[in-house]
Amino acid sequence: MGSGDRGALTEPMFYVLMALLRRDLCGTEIADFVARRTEGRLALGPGTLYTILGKFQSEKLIAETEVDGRKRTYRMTSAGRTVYEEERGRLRCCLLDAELEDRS
Amino acid sequence: MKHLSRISPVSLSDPRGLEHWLQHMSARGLHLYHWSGALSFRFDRGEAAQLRYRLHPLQHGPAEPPADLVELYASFGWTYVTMISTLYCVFSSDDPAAQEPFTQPEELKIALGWVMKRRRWSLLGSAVYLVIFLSALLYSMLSGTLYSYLLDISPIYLSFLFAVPAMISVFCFLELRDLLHLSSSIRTGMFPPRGSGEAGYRRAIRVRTFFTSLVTVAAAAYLILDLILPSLSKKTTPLTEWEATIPLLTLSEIEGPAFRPAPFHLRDTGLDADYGVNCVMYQWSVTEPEQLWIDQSGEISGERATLTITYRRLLSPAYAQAEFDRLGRRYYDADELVWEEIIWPGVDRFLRSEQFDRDLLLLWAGDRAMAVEYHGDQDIGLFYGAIAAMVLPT
Repeated sequence: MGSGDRGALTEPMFYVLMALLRRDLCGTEIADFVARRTEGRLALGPGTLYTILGKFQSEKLIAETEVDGRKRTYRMTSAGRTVYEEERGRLRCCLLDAELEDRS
Repeated sequence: MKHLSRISPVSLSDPRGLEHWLQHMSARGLHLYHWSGALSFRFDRGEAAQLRYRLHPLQHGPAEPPADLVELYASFGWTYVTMISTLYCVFSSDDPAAQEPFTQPEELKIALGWVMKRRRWSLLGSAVYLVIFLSALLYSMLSGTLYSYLLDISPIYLSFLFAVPAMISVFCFLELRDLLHLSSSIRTGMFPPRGSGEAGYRRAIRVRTFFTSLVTVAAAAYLILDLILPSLSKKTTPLTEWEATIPLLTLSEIEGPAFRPAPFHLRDTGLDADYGVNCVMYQWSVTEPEQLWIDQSGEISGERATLTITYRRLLSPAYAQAEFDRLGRRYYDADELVWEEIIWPGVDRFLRSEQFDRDLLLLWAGDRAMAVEYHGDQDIGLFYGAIAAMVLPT
């Protein structure tokens, strides 16, 4: 599934996929990662995070790897990685366009 | 701990209104602990507290609260309270610093989209039910079928014919209004800011109070007009004192000058206390403007003779036909009687039968229905004209 099919990711969605790039994480660990990476600029509440995780699971961008009591751990699927890379490319193009505009 | 039930003034399609209402209740010392169904909620009475309530829309409608959702909210300082249907999980927090569950409007739009979709189906289901119910009601009103059936059980059931569709209509209207509002919020991404819900919440209460009052007043009016006033209007009077409203055929006319009427008296016990000998019992209601039960009794040559007339003038010919059927069932159900159809000018149906030593006559003409029971020596067939005249418009 490409980003062309599903539209652009929202900022929180992009960071959730980024959080799962290197390792499997549970919901609170994802929220901690996003807060740390953005230095508190982007705070994910439990409603936002759970909605994104539910939507990504439906779209098979992430999958559950472990259920430990009430805690669930997620990993990114290859489809998720593709969507992440496409979004990253799109954002990079946006930035390059903006820099070119500054120089002109 | 004392538990109390309260009906929500806002619908399930208004999550922000519900949150506001729950906070309002907590501030009054009523803390939610259970959703009882529809718009009914159970509360614990306790100390007044400034709690924040948040509703999390559920994607798949699970029967139990998702454990990982409860855990996730708990790690952010939110306590699970209850589920509302399979639509929402309710969380509360007394920590002012607890992170708002939905920090981004895009994800809130996605989550509310799930609610929107399921409430739309619920509304559609109610609307379909309403259309079917109203169609059946219209059919039964026109044919008199259901009216007759319900009247047989008890007149109180007639009120459901009007109350049920009225309630469903109010529910559909309010639900549609909230759904349109929710749909507009999802489409535009413009959600009312927190704390600004007071006015909307108050408005919702006013709208619901108005409709609830309307339905209550309508139900009360119906009860008064069709059940209480008829009971109050019920009067029994001696036949000799009655100012006849129909061209009454008397037993003296049938039996001749030798007939001796029995003295008037009422039965003094039981449910039949209003009925008696040589008397008229009359009452009215909205659907039956004139109801008469006329008893005539006496003796001729030492033999007892009686003529009992049950007369009904109704709102419409359809109702009269239903009443004609109902009067007929009194005898059909008792025995398999053979009925003779009599053709008489101006009378829609005219039936005659015999049961033991009584002649039974059933008539329906326009908006009137009548049953006549005669016990005596004369041939009642000689009086068809006088009997038909009682149901024909004067």
